[in-house]
Amino acid sequence: MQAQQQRNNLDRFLAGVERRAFRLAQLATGQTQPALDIVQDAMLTLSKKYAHKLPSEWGPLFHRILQNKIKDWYRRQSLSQRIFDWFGMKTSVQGEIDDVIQTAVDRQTPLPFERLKNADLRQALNRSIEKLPRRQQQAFLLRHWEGFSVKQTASVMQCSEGSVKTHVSRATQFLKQQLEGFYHDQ
Amino acid sequence: MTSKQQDKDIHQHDIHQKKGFSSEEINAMSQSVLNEKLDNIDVATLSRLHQARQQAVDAAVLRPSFLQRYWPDRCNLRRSGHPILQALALVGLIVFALGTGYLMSHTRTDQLNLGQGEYLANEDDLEVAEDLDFIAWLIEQDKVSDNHAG
Repeated sequence: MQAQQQRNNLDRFLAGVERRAFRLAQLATGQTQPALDIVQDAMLTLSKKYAHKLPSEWGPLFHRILQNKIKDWYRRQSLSQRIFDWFGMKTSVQGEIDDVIQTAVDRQTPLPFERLKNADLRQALNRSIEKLPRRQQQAFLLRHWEGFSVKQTASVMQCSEGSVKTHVSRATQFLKQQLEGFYHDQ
Repeated sequence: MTSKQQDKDIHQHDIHQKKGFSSEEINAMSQSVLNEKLDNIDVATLSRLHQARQQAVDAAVLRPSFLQRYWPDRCNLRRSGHPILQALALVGLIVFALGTGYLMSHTRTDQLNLGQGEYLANEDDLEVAEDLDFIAWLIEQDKVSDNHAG
């Protein structure tokens, strides 16, 4: 009975985080299929190793596992990239990310949330987030999308709180620069 | 010009004086864009996520393993403060100390015995030990002859 209750709790928790986890992985990898694999691996690892922990501990643990899986994916990609380079082949891992940002502006919408009605700005912001360096992207998304504290983010990213603040600050500066054109052309 | 109109003008002026979006605006817009993307995930992907979740729930190990239960926090006794482990560690230390003391005392006795054995095993010393009576008799004879001569 208690086991069933625990399974239900785990199911609810995973249902609550799966979409965000998928988007985080998709933003990090720039691809859909690897993102799905990463999320699946992260879910399995959590359920096999940490399902007995308190549900309140699952959130940070799951994100830590997810970030480690993403890191592993990058390592594998880097290795295969080097092998392909060695044989003189080209791979397009970050196909979508390499696209040029579209910067057309709607001059009729002066305030930020009204500006967001502008599809181009939304797209530019989304692509700018995709273009962020991996660690900056992680820190920015964990802090401002997942809502983790600096301490929790540092724990998930396995780095110091100072590093988290630096990453988030640089990420915000980068996004500001990328969207500057949208602001001035109002 | 009404005060409302003035406020609006000031607000517009502020917007144009700034160099770009503020950090708060960037954060808010990012959240909005990212949340919007969540709603646009296609059905096939959602189905895959659902399957992955089911697999994970079925594979869930709801009881910690023996090692995880009794060896938490990667064996960090100080941080975990696990009483059983601390008691075991203390008992282990005492047994080790007693064992080492016992072994060391036995080794010293053996070394002493071995020293005596070595002393007795010396061939010259054995001969001297066997002839002690003869040597004593010789000394006595020397004393007697000296008395007679004197």
